[in-house]
Amino acid sequence: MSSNGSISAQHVWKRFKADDTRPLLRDRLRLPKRRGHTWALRDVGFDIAPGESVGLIGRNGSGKSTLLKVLTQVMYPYAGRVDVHGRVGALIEVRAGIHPDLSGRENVYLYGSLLGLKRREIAAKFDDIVEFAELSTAIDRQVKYYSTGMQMRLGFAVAAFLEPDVLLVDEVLAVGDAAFQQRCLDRMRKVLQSGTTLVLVSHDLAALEAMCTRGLWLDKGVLKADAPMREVMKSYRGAIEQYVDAGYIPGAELRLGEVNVGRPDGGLPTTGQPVEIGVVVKADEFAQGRMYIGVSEGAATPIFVVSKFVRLQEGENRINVRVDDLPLARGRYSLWTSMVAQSGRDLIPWHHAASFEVIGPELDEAPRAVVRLSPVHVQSEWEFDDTLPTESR
Amino acid sequence: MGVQYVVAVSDIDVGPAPELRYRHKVSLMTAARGLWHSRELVLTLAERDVRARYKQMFLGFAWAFVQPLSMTLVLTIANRKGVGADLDTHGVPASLVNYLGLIVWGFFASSVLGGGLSLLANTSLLNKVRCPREAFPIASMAVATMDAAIASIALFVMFAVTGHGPRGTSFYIVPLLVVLIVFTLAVTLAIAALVVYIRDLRSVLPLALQLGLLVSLLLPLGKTQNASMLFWCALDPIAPVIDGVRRAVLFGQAPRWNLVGIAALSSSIMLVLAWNLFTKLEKGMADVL
Repeated sequence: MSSNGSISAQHVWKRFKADDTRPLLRDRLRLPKRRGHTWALRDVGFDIAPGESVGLIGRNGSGKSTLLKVLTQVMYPYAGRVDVHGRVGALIEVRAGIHPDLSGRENVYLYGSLLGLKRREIAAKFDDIVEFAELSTAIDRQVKYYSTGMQMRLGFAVAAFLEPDVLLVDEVLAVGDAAFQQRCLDRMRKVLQSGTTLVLVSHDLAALEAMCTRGLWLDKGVLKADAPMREVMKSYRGAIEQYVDAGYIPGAELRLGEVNVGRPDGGLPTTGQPVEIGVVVKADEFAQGRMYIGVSEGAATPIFVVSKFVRLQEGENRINVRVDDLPLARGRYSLWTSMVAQSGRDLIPWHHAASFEVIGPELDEAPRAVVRLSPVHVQSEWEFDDTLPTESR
Repeated sequence: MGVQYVVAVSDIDVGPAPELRYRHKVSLMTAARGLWHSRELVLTLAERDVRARYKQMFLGFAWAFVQPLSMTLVLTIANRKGVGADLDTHGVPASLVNYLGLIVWGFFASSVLGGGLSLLANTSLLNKVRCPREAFPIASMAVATMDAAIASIALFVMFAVTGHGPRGTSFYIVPLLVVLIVFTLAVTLAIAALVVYIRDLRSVLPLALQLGLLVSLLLPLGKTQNASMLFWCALDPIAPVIDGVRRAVLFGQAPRWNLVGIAALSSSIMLVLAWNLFTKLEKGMADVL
């Protein structure tokens, strides 16, 4: 049973009916109209070895959840082959599979037998599940009286503790408090260490980067990239940036001109060196407000923000911001900016204004399953006794 | 593993090559084996349905008697007023004859109703875990079996009260029950799969079952056989089963084997057809659920 946990998908196609017609009989009786289809997956193929951790990224509607359902084999593909060896545990919708009228205990047993486990095997894991889900005495209460968080914890605990060979997780990290999220990640790491294959769908790129070694990028149903997570992430972030650029509609009262990011001596921005951000704002009349400048990895959530109250004269205003010690590691970053009047009105809405490269050292890696909040570079000096033999270190 | 960017294929708007089309073929043997492997699942599902049903109910298991008993009352009054009065009860009280028939019908009706809606009711499970989907309708049949068993307890009370015990020919019901189960399974599977696509059936189902009850119970099979009666037994195998059960348990007669045989044959054909329909429709279920 060495292949347990392997996933193979070859030329997978999946389409859905475009539901533009009502299924009413009186419509059907008229001339039959050809119904259209939309492709959810187009010629997707990959092989995943047992024990791999794969992150699935892509914009909304790119087919991630459909692919997961096809892998779970609850949905059949239109064309192609899917082989998943071993027991599949899936966390596709947070509360899916939990019966509201039953107690937590009964739900655990029900879900276990759906996964094909014997009662004895479930009983052996039962205490761990209850402890992880922090349910204690509530386990014998009907699930409909649980809070959303409790239901979710139960769902995750059941899927993660019943030792599937393949664990498919769709966007569960988005819910639950920070402490529980971290415990979920810890649990997933343990599951990975025990040799389970993990396929994770999330829009939380930082969490994906922390968990997964390999990335699959789906774009409109087509597999756009299949590479180590970091590289996929890089190109994905680039694509988000382009999308954000294209989608920008100027609803601003002020217009943004040229934006420059560079070293004062004219070189490329460098880690730990001073950097200057130059922004030109064109105003039709006198204006004042708070100017915000943020730096992000592509999305609208910045790593850091600097701000200042500024007054603008009619015509072109040049604003220069100097940061003495650039905390960013090597990579590509986006500059976001906005200006807000004292009344709270947007003079310039928060939008992507420019992109720039930073040269310097690579970021140190975080331990597996630990989500880094911001990829900030910190200079560090290490001292330790290097004379000991390597084995005892 | 090197970087491997998958180039967008040029025929992407055309669709997959025909030879790649996924064929959903499940042989009866594979399906049966899969089902046998998930027998524990069937039991758990049945247990869940029973538990969930009786939670927040004051009468609990008593409901298993209440339904057939009240119907017996209605039918017995109807008999008095002359409806279906040509039923020869061989001196056995009509209430007993009716109740026995209602247990059989009740099993069929609650299987079809519960099992028919079981896939819709378990959408969240079906979309989450790969398991044989037949398990859901079959679990509903198990629940119906339990209800019938409980309802049979009342039968023995009625035996004691009326002084008419089960006759020595009662063992004849074993083959009759096999026919009943085969037919019920066929109808339940077919309805369960169809309801997913044609939700109208949800509203039609209770109505159809009411009519079926009247047809199968109030219009007893005549004493003389003719071609139309054989045809009728092929269409509605429940009728000869009820007739046979009454004869064996209450009247001390053998069932009319030729009618039962026709019913057995048509039920088997129906089961094969229903199974094929189910596997065929199963393929697209997750898309529409």
